[in-house]
Amino acid sequence: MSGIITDNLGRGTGLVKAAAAAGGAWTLITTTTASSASTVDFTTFSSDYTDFMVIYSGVVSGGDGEDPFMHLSFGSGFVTSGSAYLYGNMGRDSGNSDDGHGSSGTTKILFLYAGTGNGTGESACGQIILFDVHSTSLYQNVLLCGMHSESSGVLQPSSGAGIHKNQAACDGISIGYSTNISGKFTLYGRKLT
Amino acid sequence: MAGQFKMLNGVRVELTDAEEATRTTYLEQYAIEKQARVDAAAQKATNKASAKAKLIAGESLTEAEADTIVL
Repeated sequence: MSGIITDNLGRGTGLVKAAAAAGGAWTLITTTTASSASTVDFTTFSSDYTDFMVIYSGVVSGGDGEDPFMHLSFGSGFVTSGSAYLYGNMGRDSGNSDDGHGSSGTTKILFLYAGTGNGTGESACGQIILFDVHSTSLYQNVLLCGMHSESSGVLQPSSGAGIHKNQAACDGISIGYSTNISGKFTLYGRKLT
Repeated sequence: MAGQFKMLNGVRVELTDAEEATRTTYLEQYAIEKQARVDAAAQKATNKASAKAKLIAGESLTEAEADTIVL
């Protein structure tokens, strides 16, 4: 098929336009590339979406063996103190040992089990999913899944979860290291209907 | 620490003095928590190695050592 109608099938406006996306699908919101930034922040949690996901790749820290952490915002800036964050991660470390760690009350969520680095070939990638961010009755639940590749060739897989014990709408996520962070970060949103 | 910046929704934004102060305060607490976690992991590894040695030698274990091998 060719012609004007075909040319307009994928467009959002006009006499012929694309059908609205079905509920349940992840929609790309924005992508950013960071180079030695203090943090990578997304504060565009539109009410158009119920859940949000950050995909990160090629992520390296300014120093070696650093833990990537994240903070959440609930309308008045990112929470970086107190003890309302809980998290747990299971994974493999640079010595090929499987174990886990976590906290039942801390100032951040670590989203990978093992510390990451910036050596030759090293990087971290994975996803962070935030569920029901606009809920004012549920704690903010976060699902974590990722990996880090060591320059020695060791694979460090990691899976975990975290929460923030705040019954308020979450409107942002901040990701960083204690030094600085580089890599690609993409924010997606998901609507249910 | 002048010159720090963040990527905010894809845009490079310099940190304000207040944001830098908040980050510094957080990182100080982060260092304390990280050291505690590193110390706990090291102690666990020590207890695990000690438990293994005692089991092989047929000696009794401390509770901390037993915790490293008992589910």
